[in-house]
Amino acid sequence: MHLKTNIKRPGVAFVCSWLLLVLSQAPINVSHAAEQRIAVIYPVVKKPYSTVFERIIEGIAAEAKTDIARYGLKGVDEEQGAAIQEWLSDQQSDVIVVLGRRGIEAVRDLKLTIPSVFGGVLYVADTTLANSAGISLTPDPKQLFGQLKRLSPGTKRIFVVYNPARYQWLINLAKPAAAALGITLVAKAVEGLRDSARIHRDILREAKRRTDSVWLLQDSSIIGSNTILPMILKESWNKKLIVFSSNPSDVPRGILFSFYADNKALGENLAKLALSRLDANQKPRTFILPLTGALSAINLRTASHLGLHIPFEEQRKFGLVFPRK
Amino acid sequence: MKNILKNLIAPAGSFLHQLTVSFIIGITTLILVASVVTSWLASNRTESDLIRQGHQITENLARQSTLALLYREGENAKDAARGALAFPDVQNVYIYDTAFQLILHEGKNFEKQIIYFSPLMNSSALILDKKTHWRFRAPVYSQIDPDNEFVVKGGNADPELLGYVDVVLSKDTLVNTTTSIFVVNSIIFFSLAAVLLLVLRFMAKRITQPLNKLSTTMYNAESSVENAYADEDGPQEAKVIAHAFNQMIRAINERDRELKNQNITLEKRVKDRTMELAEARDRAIEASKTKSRFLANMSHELRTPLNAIIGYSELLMEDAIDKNNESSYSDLNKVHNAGVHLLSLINNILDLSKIEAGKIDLYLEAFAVSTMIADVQSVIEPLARKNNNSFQIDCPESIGSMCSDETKIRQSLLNLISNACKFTKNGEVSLVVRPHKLGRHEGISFRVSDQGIGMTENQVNNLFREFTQADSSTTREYGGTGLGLAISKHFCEMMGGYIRVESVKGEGSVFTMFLPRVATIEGATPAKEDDQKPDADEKTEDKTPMSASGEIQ
Repeated sequence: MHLKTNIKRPGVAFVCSWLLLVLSQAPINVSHAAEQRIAVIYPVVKKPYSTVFERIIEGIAAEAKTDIARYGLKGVDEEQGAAIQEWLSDQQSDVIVVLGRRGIEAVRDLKLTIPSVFGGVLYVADTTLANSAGISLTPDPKQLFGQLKRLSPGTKRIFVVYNPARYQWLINLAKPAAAALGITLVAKAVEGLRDSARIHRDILREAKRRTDSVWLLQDSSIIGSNTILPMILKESWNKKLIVFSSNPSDVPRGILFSFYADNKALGENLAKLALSRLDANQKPRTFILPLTGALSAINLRTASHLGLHIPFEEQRKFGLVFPRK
Repeated sequence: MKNILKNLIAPAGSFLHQLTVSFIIGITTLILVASVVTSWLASNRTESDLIRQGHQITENLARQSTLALLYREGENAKDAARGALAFPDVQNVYIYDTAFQLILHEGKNFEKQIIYFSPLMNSSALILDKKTHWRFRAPVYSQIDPDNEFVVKGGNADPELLGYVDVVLSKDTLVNTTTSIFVVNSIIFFSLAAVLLLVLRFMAKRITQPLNKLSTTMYNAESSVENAYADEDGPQEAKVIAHAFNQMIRAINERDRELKNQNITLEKRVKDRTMELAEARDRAIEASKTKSRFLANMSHELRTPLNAIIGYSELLMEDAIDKNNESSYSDLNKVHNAGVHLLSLINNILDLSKIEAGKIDLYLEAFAVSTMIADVQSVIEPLARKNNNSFQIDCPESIGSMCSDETKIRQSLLNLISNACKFTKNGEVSLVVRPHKLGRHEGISFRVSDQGIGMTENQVNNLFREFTQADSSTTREYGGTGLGLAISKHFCEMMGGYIRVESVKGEGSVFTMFLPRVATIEGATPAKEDDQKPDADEKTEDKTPMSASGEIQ
């Protein structure tokens, strides 16, 4: 077992950064694509999770400005691939937006003749969908670090432990984002929970109050919600160390802050990304983008414990505030 | 055991007894089965609950032991292990790493023995089931990706096996629970059974009481049916039986009354008839005596002129012989013979009348039998020759003498032999005289046999009646009054003897006269039947002697 702090695919980081730039300055492309038809494949799930996909689709539809074709996946079916192929050919869509785990798994083995975009998942492996782009549910590090800097301007170092198979692309984005804010990102790659536990313990021992903080990724393979997280919460509480997370559900448990997706906005971004894939000038590549425009959540009790004063006006900017009043 | 059971439910027992025994057996069996089954079910239920609890405790502890196994530090799981031990029946907790190196042990007894077994992920397993305890094991894995739509599987995220957690659960609770359930069930069931038995016995008693009363009434009816009526109450069936029984008793009483009345009537009738019969008998006896007296008197009166006729005819015959008047002699001879025959008939009638009137007497005297036989021979021989018969006498010299009424014996013998000669033609008539035992007394038998016409059995039965021969045709053909045999029979019986007849129709007859050597007045005493038999195969006929009432003179 050894740490993997080096970046394996520097090319991917470059592509992602470039794409972000393109997306943010691509109104012309979108207008071109206004008449393009978008197909959405999404999983049919129970409430409240169904709301997530409904809002995303709503955003896609709003951005597409034309009717979109929808295909709900009700279950796992061997004949599903053929049915989807047939449906796609009937719809004569120009681009597909694939949502959720089941959506990705359903189209993974299909030989798609039109470009595809995925969303509604935290991450995908590079090889999951060939020549496909997507937007993760993981908040953009830039946004996270910006928030951290606002709450704790004295932060100099951010420690993060990650599974490179899942989040290398994110670390690649995070490092320049941190550097831009004058923060050093100490990213430690681990292979499993055992390494993660050990590294986290070392980090918690090493980290210094006020200048260091810990960033937790939403990855159950290295952050056990019942094992390592309680340990981190306990130790950080005792040391009054700032810990923030990419997982908004950690905030009520004592993490200082996190971000969560504005699903409709995510849908709009997915639609933009999908339409941009129709640009003949773009070469088909596989890449994933972090969640931008996310909403924030804060735990005021933790903030208070850490000695962070958040004025009322500032508090109103948070989408979710814990503990709930 | 089988016999005891058989006796307990023997059909001879009372209804109540049998019902009670049946209830006891049934309820006891029910209780035992129910107790055992309930305890078994409860035990199974408790066992499965405890096993489920064991799995839960083990799986919980496995989840809480992740950190300890991640760091390989037992201290991190100590609190969780103690928490598991706080559960009832949890005796020991073991935490092993993947190589089965012990990380932590909490509990009373430490077992060194290690069971090398790895259960499947996400599940605990019962790895040891001993008499006193169970041992559960759950694997400890690193975090597993939540199964939701936002996480795509893959990316080196396979769960990692960190170690194992063993929990030893005691079976004390199971044993105690099972035992207490069985005991409590048994107590409850037996208490209920006792109450149920009392109720059932009360009900059974209530049901069988009318039957018992009916049974007692029926038993008493054996000695007296009068007023032996049963109460018609209780269950429907008992009422029906009691009603039927009362009907029967009523019918029996009615019949008894009728029988009683009929008996009274019958007794009265019998009394009346007996009186009438006695009167008739007395009248008949008197009439018979009157008849006998009349006959005796008449015979006497008849003999006097008849003797005069015979006497004068003899005188006239002598006179005719003297005068040599043959024609007169022949006529006088016929008159004389007819007179003699008539006198003989009258004598016979006189004898019979005397017998019936009880006026004939025995004149006992000692005489030599052979002499008497010789006299008889002299009388019979001319008679035998008449029908061209031969007459044989077999009388040994040693036959000795008798003390009896010689006249009557001779008359009886002559009667028998003359009959034999009369009914035999061109044949043989014989007389065999032999000493013969008559009971305790010495006696003599006189056997007269012929080769005559013989008789049927019916004819033999009527032979000794007065005025009766074998049949009327016999009387016409052979003549005679039919009084001879009756008189001979009476004479023999008066002397203490009897006559036996053997005859075959068409072949001949044998008349045997058995007489005691000494005729006494006790001769009237009937000799025993066996004693009277001359030998075993000799048949007897009319062997009951009549009483002799005459005086010895």
